[in-house]
Amino acid sequence: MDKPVKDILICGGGLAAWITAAALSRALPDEVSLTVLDIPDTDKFDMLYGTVTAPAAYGFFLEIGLSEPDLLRLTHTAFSFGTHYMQWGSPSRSWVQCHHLPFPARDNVPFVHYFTGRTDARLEDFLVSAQAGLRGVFAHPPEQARIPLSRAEYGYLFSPIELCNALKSVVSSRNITVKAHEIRCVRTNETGIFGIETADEKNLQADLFIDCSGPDAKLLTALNTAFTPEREVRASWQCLPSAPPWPPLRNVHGSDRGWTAGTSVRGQKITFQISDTDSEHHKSGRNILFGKREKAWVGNCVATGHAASVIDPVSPAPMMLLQRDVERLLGLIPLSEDMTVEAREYNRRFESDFEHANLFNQALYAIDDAPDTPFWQQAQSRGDKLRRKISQFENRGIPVAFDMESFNEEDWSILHFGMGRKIKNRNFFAELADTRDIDSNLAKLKQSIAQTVLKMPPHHVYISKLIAYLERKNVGRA
Amino acid sequence: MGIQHICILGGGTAGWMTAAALSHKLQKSGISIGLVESEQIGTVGVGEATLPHIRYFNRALGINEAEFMKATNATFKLGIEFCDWGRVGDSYIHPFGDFGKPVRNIEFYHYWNRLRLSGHDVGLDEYSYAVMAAEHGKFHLPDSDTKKIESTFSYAYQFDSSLYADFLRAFAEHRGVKRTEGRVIEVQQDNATGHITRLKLDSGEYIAGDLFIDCSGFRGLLIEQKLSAGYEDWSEWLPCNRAIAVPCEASGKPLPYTRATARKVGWQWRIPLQHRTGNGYVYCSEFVSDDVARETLLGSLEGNILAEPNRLYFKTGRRKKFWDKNVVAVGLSAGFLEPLESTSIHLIQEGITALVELFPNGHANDLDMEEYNLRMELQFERVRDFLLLHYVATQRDDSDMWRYFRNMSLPDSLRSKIEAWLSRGLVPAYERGVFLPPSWIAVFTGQNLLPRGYDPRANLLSRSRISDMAHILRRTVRETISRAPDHSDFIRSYGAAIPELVSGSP
Ligand SMILES: Cc1cc2nc3c(=O)[nH]c(=O)nc-3n(C[C@H](O)[C@H](O)[C@H](O)COP(=O)(O)OP(=O)(O)OC[C@H]3O[C@@H](n4cnc5c(N)ncnc54)[C@H](O)[C@@H]3O)c2cc1C
Repeated sequence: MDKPVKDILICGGGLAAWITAAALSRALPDEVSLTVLDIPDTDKFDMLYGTVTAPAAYGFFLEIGLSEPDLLRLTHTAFSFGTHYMQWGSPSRSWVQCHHLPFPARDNVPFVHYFTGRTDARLEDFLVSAQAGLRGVFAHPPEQARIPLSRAEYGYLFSPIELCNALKSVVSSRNITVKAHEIRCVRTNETGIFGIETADEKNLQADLFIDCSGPDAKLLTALNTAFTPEREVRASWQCLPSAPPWPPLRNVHGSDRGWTAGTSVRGQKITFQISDTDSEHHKSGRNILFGKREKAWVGNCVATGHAASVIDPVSPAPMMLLQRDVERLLGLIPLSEDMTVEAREYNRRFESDFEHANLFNQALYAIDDAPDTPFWQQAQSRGDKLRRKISQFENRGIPVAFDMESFNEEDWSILHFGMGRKIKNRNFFAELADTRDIDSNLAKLKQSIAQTVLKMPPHHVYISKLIAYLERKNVGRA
Repeated sequence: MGIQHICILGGGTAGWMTAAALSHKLQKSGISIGLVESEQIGTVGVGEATLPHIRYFNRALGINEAEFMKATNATFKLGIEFCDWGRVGDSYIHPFGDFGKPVRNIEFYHYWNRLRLSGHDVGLDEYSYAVMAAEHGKFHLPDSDTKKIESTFSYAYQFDSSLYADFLRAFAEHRGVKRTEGRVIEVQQDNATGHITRLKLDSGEYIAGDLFIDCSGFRGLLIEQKLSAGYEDWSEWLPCNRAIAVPCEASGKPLPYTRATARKVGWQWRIPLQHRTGNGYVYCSEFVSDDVARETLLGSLEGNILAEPNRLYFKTGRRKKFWDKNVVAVGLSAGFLEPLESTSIHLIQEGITALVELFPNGHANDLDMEEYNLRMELQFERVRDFLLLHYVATQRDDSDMWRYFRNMSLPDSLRSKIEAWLSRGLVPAYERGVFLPPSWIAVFTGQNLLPRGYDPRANLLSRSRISDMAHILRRTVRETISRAPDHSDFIRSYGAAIPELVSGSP
């Protein structure tokens, strides 16, 4: 009775399409045929995936067949200890939103409480990834727990266009059919899509259609799936050659009208700018709507990437969501034409992943005295969950976490501190702890971090040596 | 000035667990802790089976495991055996452990489902170290080397709850907790704030406090009788509302697991301790009379009874506010979910953990309360859905009660979970909540809800490879268990045996 899923058609030619293709090609047995309909120009918004990933990308890329050596060999990707936010919402607000393993706790006192009510110590002075990032040095965090650098985590600084090309070359070694055409029309009936007519008048059929056509979501739109907009901005970007040093951090400068991000990959600097939609001021840009589809899986059609949601690249949220979309899909490859269960579960988790990633972005804009300009005012948004996160932090430094968040507790603590949020009531146990003891521990920690960072090589030197080593050892594909 | 004096009302498991934990955590704080209990009122005197999390509770207090076990006549617990739940005559063990290990990032049970759907008829439980060890009456501590099959389980205890309360009482009193014997006859409030100020005892003595922990059991003397926090009634989903409990002499060696046998109306527990066996029958008064319930219980015991049967009345649900004003409800006063999965002590522990984490420096405020309440609400709800699963994942329809469950409309969250499992062996997971996917899988498969499909990624390996892999796993489990010590021997060699067990008399 059940007709198994034998043909999958991925519609789109940008990063979402190729990441999805790479992942599916590894996860599915050969009996399932995979076709990519490489629609020209669908990558034109790929820069909105941002130019940074969180640490989770390492394992994810590996799983979809792109090892770190391959990534370095095929692209100009560099390492990232996080994002340096500068003049964020006010001239004096700056911090490094670094990646870090769980903070040390002593005597029941969570680490963040050492900083409550103090003006002489800042959290980021005690985070090795922040300090290394600021000094422009990098080395892979070692396994040995005793070394301070082992607490650091890293993601990547990358160009979405290059990443997409790298994935194409990785995937092409597998049996995937690629067709490059425009979509002329999407044929639908009450159960979903029954064919896609391309510009060369072919009618492509499949058991499962994956919409990777970018923000237009050509397939979902044909199925009348509404887009829920959140706000509109104007964005522009450019790439220019650049010489070392390349900081292992993305820089994001705030201004009254928006922000500008600078990402140094090897040999290039990608500049990305976002402002309000007043085009007089930001002529080169195009208007972008942030928001999500009401549903990301309808009938036999599922969307990944921008076709499902477009989220502000102010944080690594876009890449996190793309990764989540793909992972969610991998666990829900339908077994038959009846995809009700898969669609329901995909949509449930999509909803919650988007909501939770978006909370982090909203928290970045949640400044009580944010500039009184259209950009900052439109970015204000505080639902119940965000209110709970912020008010609990401010009340007693309590971390509020929801199920399966992409941003972890450390990300949130660093964010709150970086934004200058103050914990009003000191933690009960911190009050009991011996201050001299804490002070001496903090001093030791700071010193050992300083020493570690001094010994680390500049980021670009580390990468050149690493690449030379990989070439010598012939690691990665020939 | 903040909290200076904490008053715990109640000396049952909840009261003494709270007293022990707070006296330990607040050691250097200068806060004094008092506990009031009434021997005349007594405790519920049941609650003998636990979840593995209790080990972290004990460990955090620095309690020596063998000493604690000896003091409470405890045995080790690897899981719960459910008899007659799917169909009369069935049985399965819900273990504290995994079913095999993931292969290429895909959980083992997907491979098992693939094998099963193509004719392989070995139960999933044969791939679980915890289940097999339990069935063979074996026990040892989990191996710390996670590569070994002997590391793939966890364990809890079965103990005498009044002895546990005594044990914790000694611990707490040693750390300065002041115990007062007496019955509370009046509760006084501050007119302006409604906060509780002091309790009047039948002796005429007053006990004052800044923060009150209501561990007074079902009655919720402070949280409900005084503050009217409200009760969310869940009997529509879990209609059992009575129990009768009785200890009896043990026959044979103590087993390293609890048993829960489904009956026509309700279910019966059997909890083996070192010196005796705890028994009880949980039922629904709408479908069976107290006398019949009593006969059912007494007629199915393995040994002579050691005490008069104890009757208990309850209503499933939870307090609408667990923390209100200056009162935090912990234990039965916070809510009740039937002991099918031994969750009550765990919920006590969750309550204490949340209280310690949110412990106010200065006075508590609305935000502290709000956070505490939201966390506990989620814990209770998630346990409820899992309990309900046992009643609805069944083919039984041999009584009004089972037919009631057949016709019930389920909470959406539970219904979609069951559908996801049946259609493709998927278990939507959450992070916050006690029962992780292996628990759901144990109940689903144990109660004959078997999926029609499996994750297609399990097709990446050939059937014969999977079959070999499964075969080796099963053999490893079997062989390793054959070398593992017997449960009672282990208790003895661990130094946790009481004299009766040492001499081998039970
Ligand atoms: C049938 C049944 C089986 C159970 N099985 C399990 C199980 O296997 N595993 C598990 O984890 N949990 C189980 N539980 C739950 C478990 O028994 C309770 O969670 C646990 O015992 C805690 O109870 P308590 O301390 O809140 O209340 P109680 O034991 O009722 O204690 C109440 C205390 O308050 C005092 N008190 C009350 N009123 C006054 C007053 N006016 N003045 C002074 N003192 C007063 C009493 O003296 C007593 O000390 C079971 C419960 C039931 C009903």
